[in-house]
Amino acid sequence: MRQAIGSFSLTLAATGAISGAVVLAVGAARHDVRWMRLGRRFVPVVLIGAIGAVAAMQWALNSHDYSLEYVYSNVANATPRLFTITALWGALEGSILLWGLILAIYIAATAHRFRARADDPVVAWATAVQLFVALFFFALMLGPADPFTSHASPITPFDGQGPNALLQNHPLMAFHPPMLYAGYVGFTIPFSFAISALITGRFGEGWLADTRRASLVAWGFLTVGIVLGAWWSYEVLGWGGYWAWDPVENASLLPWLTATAFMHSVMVQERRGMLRVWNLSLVIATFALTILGTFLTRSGVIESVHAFSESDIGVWLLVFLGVIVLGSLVLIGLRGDALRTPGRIDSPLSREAAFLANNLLFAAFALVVLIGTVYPLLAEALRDERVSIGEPYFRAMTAPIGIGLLFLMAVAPVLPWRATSNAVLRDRLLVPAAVGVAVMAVTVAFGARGNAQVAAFGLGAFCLAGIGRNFGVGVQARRRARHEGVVRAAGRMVRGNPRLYGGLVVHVGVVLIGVAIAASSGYTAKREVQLATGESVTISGYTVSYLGSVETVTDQKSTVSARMRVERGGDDLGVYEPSISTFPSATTAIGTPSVRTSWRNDLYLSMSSTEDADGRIGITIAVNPLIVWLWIGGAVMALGTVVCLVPRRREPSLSGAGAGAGVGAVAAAADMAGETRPEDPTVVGAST
Amino acid sequence: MSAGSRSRVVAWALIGIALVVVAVTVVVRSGNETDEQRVARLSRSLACPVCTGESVAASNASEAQVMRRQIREGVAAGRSDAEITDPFVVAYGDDILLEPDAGGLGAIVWALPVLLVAGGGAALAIALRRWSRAPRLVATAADEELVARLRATHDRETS
Amino acid sequence: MSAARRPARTGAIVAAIVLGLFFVLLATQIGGGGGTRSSQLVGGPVPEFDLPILDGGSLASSDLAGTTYLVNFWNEWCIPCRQEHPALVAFQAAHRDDPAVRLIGIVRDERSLAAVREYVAAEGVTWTVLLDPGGDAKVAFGTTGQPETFAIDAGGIVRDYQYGPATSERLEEMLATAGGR
Repeated sequence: MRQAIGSFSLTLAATGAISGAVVLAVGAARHDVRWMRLGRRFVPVVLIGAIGAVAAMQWALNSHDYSLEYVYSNVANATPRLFTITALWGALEGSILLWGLILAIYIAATAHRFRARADDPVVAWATAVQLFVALFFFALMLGPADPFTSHASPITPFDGQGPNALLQNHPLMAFHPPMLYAGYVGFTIPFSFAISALITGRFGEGWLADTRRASLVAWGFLTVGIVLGAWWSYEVLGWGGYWAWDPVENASLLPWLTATAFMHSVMVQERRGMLRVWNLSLVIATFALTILGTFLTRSGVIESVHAFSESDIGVWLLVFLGVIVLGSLVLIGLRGDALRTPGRIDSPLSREAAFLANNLLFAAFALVVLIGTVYPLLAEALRDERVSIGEPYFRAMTAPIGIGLLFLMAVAPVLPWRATSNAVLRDRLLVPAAVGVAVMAVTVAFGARGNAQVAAFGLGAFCLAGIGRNFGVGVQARRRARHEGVVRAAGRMVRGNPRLYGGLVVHVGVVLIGVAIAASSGYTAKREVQLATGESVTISGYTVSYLGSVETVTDQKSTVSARMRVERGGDDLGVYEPSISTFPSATTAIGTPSVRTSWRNDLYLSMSSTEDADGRIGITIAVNPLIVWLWIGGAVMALGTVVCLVPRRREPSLSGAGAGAGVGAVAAAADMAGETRPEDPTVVGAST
Repeated sequence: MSAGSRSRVVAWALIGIALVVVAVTVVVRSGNETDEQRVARLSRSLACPVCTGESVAASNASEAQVMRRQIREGVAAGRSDAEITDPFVVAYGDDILLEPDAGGLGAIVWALPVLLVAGGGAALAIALRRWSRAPRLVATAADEELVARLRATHDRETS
Repeated sequence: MSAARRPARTGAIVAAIVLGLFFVLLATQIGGGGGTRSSQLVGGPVPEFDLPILDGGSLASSDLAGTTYLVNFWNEWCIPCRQEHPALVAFQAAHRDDPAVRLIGIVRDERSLAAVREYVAAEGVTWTVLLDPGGDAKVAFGTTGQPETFAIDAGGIVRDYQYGPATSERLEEMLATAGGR
């Protein structure tokens, strides 16, 4: 029954996708309005099919229908309800099912948003491309990754195998994968409009405006997904770190890097009409990298701790990737040169020049991550050599790039478009630079070490001071001109240019994360000790004593917890219980760390072995500085993204007596916002 | 030069001096690595032999625990990095090292990103230089008139 | 039309060639991996070890100079090791009286010493059994599991390696490779 509903829904979605894609493509090619309108009607069909399939799977999971192979492999009777629901994305087939649903939602939302432009070939082509992508994923589910396959034996088992032990250990599992997928899948929308712009030859800046929100939404989800993934690693994997440069992690970082580059370079195109081909390429690359990441991690070509499922869909994904990439390149080859505009950048001290430098660094960052991830594959293919690339390489290569990006983030937002004089720059950067250097001096005086760390602290402070100055000057100007209170002035200022101020909020989040990464990568204190009951160890001011072990057995797992009393400076901070669990389905034991979080540092306790013959447990104790700021930084980035999405409110200009001061204030605010002053003579050149 | 701008110059000079002092202090101090940092760095640079994609630092497998202990012993005994890691390479092969060899094909892994930044940076610098040397577009009388007219309209609408 | 005037087309062609090659390389790796395992040690000197003997005393690699021997990593809870056991018994029976040939077992990832003793007594393990409590030997030999077997010649050079359970014939072949007969 459930199987029938599921399979029927998948067939419905795939049929809707192929019909819609074909009808829309024909309609758009012929400029036939009736066909284009007809084609749009298949979008809800795809959505209904996707919802039906996911609902059937959830029904099957929650009713423990072990006649389905997927349910049998990923759920057991003892699995808690939360992890029964999340089992939908615990393995390959279900993940693709979720992918299909999210994609269908994006397509439907886009179709709704552009309902007034249904007769526009640009929209029709874009929808056709989206449906083509959807077709691929639904075809995967009807072919090699069928989630509704029956269990092999004719007798329905009484109990399932349960989810992978690592996946039923932490509630973050409920949020991390859907966020990540919402990010990945969302880039289908800008990609489809980019392709549509290439096909129709309507290469103004229209497609950018059309997809700005979709790109932002996708980028925001991807950011949150990556941060949650790091958090999950930190809370579950038990080695005290949050990022291991693992292929799966890299696969999520790659599209984020190109998408972030795009977020910046798109402004150059909007403002100056330059970089059209480059922006198209970044959007296409972002989408292609989401597929490449899926291929790398799901085809079994690369081994990873996060790769919970593999199958023979590798060939399908690679062919799809080839079609996407080579098809896009053909279009760029045919159309690209007609797209180009004879733009120029007037001064290296300008916003647009800073964006170019930013793009260069992001491209280099992406190249480092890509090469580091695929090089072992290439070495094996070309020279039959087995090599590994890990943290030392990524650290050495990305630290200078990260420092460079922090520097740009501190300087670029105060640069006006087109050109600036040295005097203006000296004026605006004086205070932030002084703050930055002062912070460096203070951290060094307090014993900070490491070039990259100290540079990150200084540049982080530089950047925050610059952003603070930016807000301060803007609010001050409004208060003077409009006699508003601070809160009201700040609120209205943000509403007047949410994109600018939202972007600055995102930058604050990035600085927090950058500083936390610098601190935790440089100053973690870690000890691995054997402790008998009553023994204690002191590390970075924390005294940790072993009180004894407790064993708990449930249907789901059996767990040995070590009771550890934690004290600092004579204060009892309570008892923490890192544990090791054995799941009936898994051969290896899974450790669950216990973390005491504070603003300054985390005490991270992780059990490596249960009591041996001498009654000693193995325990790893780490003190990781500033970790909590990683998660706060992620939340701030999400907040900034939301601010960017707020519609801009245009205010009426000031009139009457205050007009003189008002013009000054608006000019000052515009100046901070990087706008060109009206009297700037170069404005004339811009329109030419 | 006004008093204000002169004090700015002094302020910038002070910032510059402070930066140099901080940089020198950090560089001088970063020369010596603590034993703990060395152990952490070496365990990050080795792959756990029985895991998939985890370093010795990250893995809780017994092999990784043994290797971490041996690294600690080696560091405590004052052995060099190579003396500590060589036995692992002898036993498990080159792919135990997580850092690609800088020679041969491995060089592209290090060189390609550097070349990209250097080449891209150079291209950008050349383009910017060419642009800044080329004469800017000069506004014609017609342009000036257009701007003046638009500005007049704009002022009328907004006031 | 020269390349300089059509940079987008030129770029697209170059990118298509590079990425096309990349995809072909990726395609060759699908379903790859695995393959037969080998040991890095073959051809080189045997790693030094000095381990306690189950029955008391200790044995060092230096004590074995001039002897041709097999080192077998095993433990009592590993199923493939139990499958391999008859081959080891047969090997020991065939070479028991040859002072120039030895079979040495090293217990890998010991869970319970009592269980090891019980197994040794019950299953007729008459060859030397060494313990590896610190795990140094299993890492020095580059093992990743059990059973794994190494053949070492009289000069202390590792000559052959077997990953997974060996048959009787395979053990004899390993001994022959190490020049033991």
